[in-house]
This record gives sequence, C-alpha cells and structure tokens, in this order.
Amino acid sequence: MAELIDAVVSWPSLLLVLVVFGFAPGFCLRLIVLAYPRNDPRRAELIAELYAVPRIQRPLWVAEQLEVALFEGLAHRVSAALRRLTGRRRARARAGDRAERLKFVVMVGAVAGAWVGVGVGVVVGAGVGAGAWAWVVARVWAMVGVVAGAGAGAGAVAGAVAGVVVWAVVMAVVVAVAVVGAGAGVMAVAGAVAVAVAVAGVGAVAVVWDWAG
Amino acid sequence: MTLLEDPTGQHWGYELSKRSGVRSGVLYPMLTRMLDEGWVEDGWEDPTTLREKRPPRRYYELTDEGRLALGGVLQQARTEARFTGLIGRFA
Repeated sequence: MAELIDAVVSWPSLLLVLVVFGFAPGFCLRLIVLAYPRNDPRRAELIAELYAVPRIQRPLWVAEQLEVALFEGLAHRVSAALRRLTGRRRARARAGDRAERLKFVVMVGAVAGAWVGVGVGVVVGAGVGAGAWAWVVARVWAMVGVVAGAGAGAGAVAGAVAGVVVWAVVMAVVVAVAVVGAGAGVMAVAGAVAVAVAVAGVGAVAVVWDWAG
Repeated sequence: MTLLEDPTGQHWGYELSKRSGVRSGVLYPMLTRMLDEGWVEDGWEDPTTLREKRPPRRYYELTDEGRLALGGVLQQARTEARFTGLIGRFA
C-alpha cells in the first residue's frame, strides 16, 4: 500500500496526470479538429466545448471527438477537395467559355465599331462636305452677289446716265420745240404784224390815194 | 426531444449530449443535418459576457420550423409503442 501511495504521489505520476488530464486533451483536440475544413465552425466549437467538459472526462471525450472528426471532418475534407476539383474543372470550362465569349464580343465589337465608325464618318464627312459646299456656295453666291451687285450698280449707273441723257435729250427737244415754237410764234406774230402793217399801209395808201384821188 | 424540453432556449453540444445520452459522434452529425434543414439555427456566445476564461461556445436554438417539425415527430412517436418510454416525459 505504501508503495502504491508512493507511486501515486511520485513525480512521474503527477507528471502523467498533468499530461493526461491537463495538457494532452487540449493538445490532441487541437490536432483532431484539423481534420475539419478550415472554415468549419466545428473546429472552434469543439475547442470551446472542451472547457465545459469536466477534466476527468476530457480524455475520453477527446477520444470520442477523434472518432467524429475521422468520419465527419475527413468526409467534409474529401467532399471539399472533390468540390474544389470539380470547381476548378468548371472554372476552366467557364474560362474557356469566357475566352470564346471574349472573342465573340471582340469580333462583334470590331464589326459594330467599324460600322459605327463608317456611319460616324459618313455623317461627319457629309457634315463637313455640306459645310464646305455651303461655304463654297456661299462664297460663290457672295461673288455672284458682288458681281451682280456690281452689275446692278453699273447698270444702275448706266441707267442713270442713260436716263440723264435721255432726259437731257428730251429736255433739249422740248426746249428746242419750245424755242422753235416760240420762234414760230414770234415769226407768226411778226408776219401778222407785217401783214397787218402791210394791209394798213395798203389801206392807208388806198385811203390816201382815194383821198388824193 | 431534449431540444423540446426548452424549445426557446439556447443549447450547447456537450450539454445536449449529456442530457439526451446521445454520444457526440451521433449528436453532432444530427445537429448538422438539423441546421441544414433549418430546424435549428446556431450562434456564438458574446465574448464580453463570459465570466470564465474560455472561448465562446456555439449554441443551437430551435427555429419555428424546427419546433413545428419536432412537434410533428413527437406527435407521430406517441402513436408508436416503441417510443413510449422515450416520450413519456413529454406526454
């Protein structure tokens, strides 16, 4: 009995108890939960639950968790690995699809861009052309206007000159007619006076002749 | 059944295991399935409210759907003789 008591209270026994009930459960549990996937909440849950388990039950409880982790955690890991593999395949397939879609988009974009460019070019070119044409036409019309204006001006001047000339001619004719008329009138009056004087002289001669006679 | 003893309370894995007598190797997969089904929802203790030096624990709460579903299971179990002993405390 004394030997048993000595064995129980010996340093190796104390060390063994400390290891089995103190250090080992937590250490082993932290290793065990590594079987669960990295983002699995069960990792933190089991470690937290360990503190709720009485120390005397911890070694057995941890051993139970080893069983759970082997069948649940490893199964999760395998399924996660499979999901990753299939996900990569899908991603590769999606990447292939993306490349095809990218090519299609680039092609369609290039064609559409070319057509849009042509359209814009036509519109801009037409605008510029129309502008240039309008500018040229405006210039031409301006020149025509200038010429026409000049012509009109010249015509007007010429017309004016012609008018003046015609007016002068007409006036000259009128004056001449008037002068001629006046002269004629004067001559007529003079002739009449002369005729009258003559008649009067003839009459006076006649009277005198008669009187004398 | 243990969850229905306190349908609105928070439950912990080890506590459920002790009260129900179900080993953790069976209990945790069951809880995972119930979470997937939407019968229970989980959460973590608020670390600021902890008095002991330990990490926050994960708790489980029954949802309305879970309460209805477990109630239905309980109702069905009452009709079967083999569950009489199990559901005697809920009768």
